[in-house]
Amino acid sequence: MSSTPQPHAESTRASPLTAAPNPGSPSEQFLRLSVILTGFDEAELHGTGMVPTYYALIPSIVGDELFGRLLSRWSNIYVRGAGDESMLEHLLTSELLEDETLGPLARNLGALWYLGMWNQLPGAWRNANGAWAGDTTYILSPRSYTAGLVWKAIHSHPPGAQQPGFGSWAMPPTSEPEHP
Amino acid sequence: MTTPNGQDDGERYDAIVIGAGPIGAHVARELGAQGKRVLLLEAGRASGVTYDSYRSYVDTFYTAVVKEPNAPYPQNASAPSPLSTDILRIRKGTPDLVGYQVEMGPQGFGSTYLRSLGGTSLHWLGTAPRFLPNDFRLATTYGVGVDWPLTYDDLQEHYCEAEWSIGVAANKEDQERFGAWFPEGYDYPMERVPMSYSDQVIAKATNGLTVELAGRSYPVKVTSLAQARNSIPRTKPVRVGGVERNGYVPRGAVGQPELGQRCEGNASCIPICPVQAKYSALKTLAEVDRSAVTLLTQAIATRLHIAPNGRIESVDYLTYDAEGGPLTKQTARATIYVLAGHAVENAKLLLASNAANSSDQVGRNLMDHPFFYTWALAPQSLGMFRGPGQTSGVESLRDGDFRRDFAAFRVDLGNWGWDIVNFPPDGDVTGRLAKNIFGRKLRAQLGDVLPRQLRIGFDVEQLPEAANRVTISREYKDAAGCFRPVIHYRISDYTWQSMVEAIRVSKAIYTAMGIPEKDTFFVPPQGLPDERMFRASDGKDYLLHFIGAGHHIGTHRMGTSRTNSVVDRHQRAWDHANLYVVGCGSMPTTGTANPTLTALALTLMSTKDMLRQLR
Repeated sequence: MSSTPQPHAESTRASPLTAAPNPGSPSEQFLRLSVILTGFDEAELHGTGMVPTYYALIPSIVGDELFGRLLSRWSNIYVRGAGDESMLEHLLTSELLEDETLGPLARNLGALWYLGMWNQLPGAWRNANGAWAGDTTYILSPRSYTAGLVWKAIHSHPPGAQQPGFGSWAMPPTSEPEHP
Repeated sequence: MTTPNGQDDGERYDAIVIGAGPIGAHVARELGAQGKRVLLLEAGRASGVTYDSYRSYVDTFYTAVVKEPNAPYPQNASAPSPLSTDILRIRKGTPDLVGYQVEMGPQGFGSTYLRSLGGTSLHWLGTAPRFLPNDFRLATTYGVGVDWPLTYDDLQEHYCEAEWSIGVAANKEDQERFGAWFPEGYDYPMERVPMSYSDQVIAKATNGLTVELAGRSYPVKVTSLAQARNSIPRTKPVRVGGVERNGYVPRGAVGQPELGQRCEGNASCIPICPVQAKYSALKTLAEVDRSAVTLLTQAIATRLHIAPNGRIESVDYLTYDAEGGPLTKQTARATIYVLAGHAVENAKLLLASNAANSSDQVGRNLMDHPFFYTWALAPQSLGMFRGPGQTSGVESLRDGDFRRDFAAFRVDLGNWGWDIVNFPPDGDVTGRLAKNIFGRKLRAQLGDVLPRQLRIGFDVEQLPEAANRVTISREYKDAAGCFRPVIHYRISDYTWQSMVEAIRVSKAIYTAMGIPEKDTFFVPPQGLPDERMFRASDGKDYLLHFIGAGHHIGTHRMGTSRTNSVVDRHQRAWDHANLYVVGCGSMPTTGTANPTLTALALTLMSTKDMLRQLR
């Protein structure tokens, strides 16, 4: 199980009218995909300390080939979206999330960031792409649980960690300002 | 103090205490403090006595996919514990054999307990209200159930001692209701835990609200909950059980006392408080006089032997090293024997020993507070998923004339969103991702919806019924060759009807809060193993549901005579002068209060009787 996946080339059809953004290295592609899937920015994702772990996880479970295709498809979308966020979201939905093979992987990546948890891929996916030994539902580690983004999203903290202090629960809730 | 793997040196003890949970730990501490030589047997492992070993529980909790009450505490094949996930819908004639308990039905008994050092106090919520005076005289006052062989007033002094022993945070004036009183000059050791923001919102919205129960009007009054959780200590001298105390000093984590001096809002009390601001028996075990008390863990009591004169003469126990591994049989002797192994395990041991059962009441009258719940989505943020699981409740419906017709209940206002409804946030995240909701939209939706989730629960009273029972059978044994509990359990109309009333109470609260009807919910969409269509007294049918509250009560009840009960008011077995069977199993009725505090008060009273015997 390699920790430095090499994306397989997919044809990149950048729009001829705009300067194609550089898709970057695989780890940069992974981080950008994570940003658009989670709604948290790169600094927030780095702040969890989980970027290297999660980057290595998907290939360790389903192999380099599938992970490479995921990043490659995303790079293609990223280049064509050319910084237009609604276009990126549209392409991400139609060309990645709705893809039978890559969609479940992308959704799992989102859940991984939010919950620190790998969810076993759907039965139909496993029929088509193999029943990988590591593909079971589990929480990666105590760190991945406490790094779950969902707790930030709901303006709280992971139960059992990052405790806010005596009496904090009596105060009115603070909702973070809408992410810029 | 701990002798792993049970090397008993064959000496004779003053007392053998079976079970090192909160009740057994208190017996050992009290007897040990008077210089009595005690052998304390615990079937489970000793993990948790050092802070590092306790932290292993916290890490196990973090990585548990299903964070159920026993999730932090590894299952032990030699001393298994029931899990809430073991409960299936039971088909007639086909028992549910999934877990440790054999569930004969018709309802599943979904409450759990933990066989490990510290017992179920490791995963309890810490809720510690007192019973009410009428809870002790249900038959006399309302013509249902049975009376206890003692009164609220008899337990007063021991309630005070128990509250100081485990460290209960509450304000006296919040707890004075339905005739419950406190001695002059007494107060709880710590100030009440601050009420959560959502409690405050509900309290404000329901100010002045009343509901009608059996034709009479009752206020819906939100009050702070008495809880064994470190808060701001009271420092002025107080009289407790006839002794002057110079204020209270909170006890932090065992082995790391600077931690947990206050509740820090970890919001994981069930199943584990990472800093031990919540009471667990580990704290009492740390106070045990090690020169007097020998603790043997991994020592499963299997049989009491009865001498021809009716006294218990010895106890057999099995020791093991690896869970599920080979067992060594040993025997120990003492002047008195104290079963403190939890309601189900106590009954099992008595039945396996043919002991204390001339009344035929051993194992019978198994009760719980069947926990019915409703839920809603508030129009504004309630700041959910913060603080202890519960900081307030509606205690104003715990007593009244309606108890002639249907059960009373204590209303639990949850602080953790739709917790037991659909175990947020996992499904909230994956469900949205499945619909291709991702990114900023996902983040915004979660941030909007989850803090508005409200769940109201009802700890509903149950009456003692002989057919609701723990039995044993040669057919069903665990890996150590010990009997598995076989449970027969049926909820009667007295309790079901209250769930219908609970729907009305819920609706009144939700309406007062301005929650639109479409955002209120009363029936779990996915169905529950324990649910039933019930024809209520209004002639309408309701689909009702419940889960276990974890409040096992009644399997060796106390009473006024050897014909109607297993133990007397001192929890001494009628049939064996040197045997005490202590804990929630001794309680003849459930009331509506979480039972541990009352079991502890009863047991502190019992220790005085034990010391009289040992004089």
